[in-house]
Amino acid sequence: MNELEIKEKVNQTLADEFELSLDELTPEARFKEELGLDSLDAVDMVIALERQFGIKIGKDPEIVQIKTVGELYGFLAKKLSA
Amino acid sequence: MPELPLPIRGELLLPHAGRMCCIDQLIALEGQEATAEVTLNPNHVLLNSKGQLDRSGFIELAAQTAGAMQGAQIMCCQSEKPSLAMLAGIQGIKVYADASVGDCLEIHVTTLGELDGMSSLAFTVKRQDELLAEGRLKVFMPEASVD
Repeated sequence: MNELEIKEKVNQTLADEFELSLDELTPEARFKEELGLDSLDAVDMVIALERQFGIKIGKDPEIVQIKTVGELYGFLAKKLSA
Repeated sequence: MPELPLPIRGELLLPHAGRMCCIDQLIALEGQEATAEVTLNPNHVLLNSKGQLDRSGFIELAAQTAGAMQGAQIMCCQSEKPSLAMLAGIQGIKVYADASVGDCLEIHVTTLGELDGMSSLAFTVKRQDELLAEGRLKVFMPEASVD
């Protein structure tokens, strides 16, 4: 899966799960401040992404450091290429 | 990971003590799923004055079962039970029938996902084979974030 496919899948997953507009999902968008997602939403995001990509990410210590959509793209690209 | 002998009393797995521990024992634990049971004795803290389980009590039973599951997983690695477990959220709760004093209930939880001590779980509460309630909940247990 290339980076563009990862971005599209992430954006669609987040848009569907949290009823967000695709326009809001820029790489710079911060989950808490711009997208209004809290720690409870973060668990749902992990579940949705694990289902979408078929990988386990919830126990990865790096994921709790992620603040923006762009950082999430990078994290997933690294996990999927490992 | 060493296994805990089952069944194991809820009080040994949860921070709750005395009557505040609402489940009797954890009877099954496999992977990300667990089952607990409770018999609603007359002084059970979740019974109302009519001897019925308050409907919000289904959620507390599920939350404590989730906490006991995570407590068991933590105790496999550490010697002490967790010190903190909190119900953080609920979603899609459906109650189909009430439970009353004397009923023996089986509570089943399945972990859907985890992040930094926060877990999302699906649960069912049954009386024998009768489904009484189901839904999803989120439980926060800081020690569960440590592998």
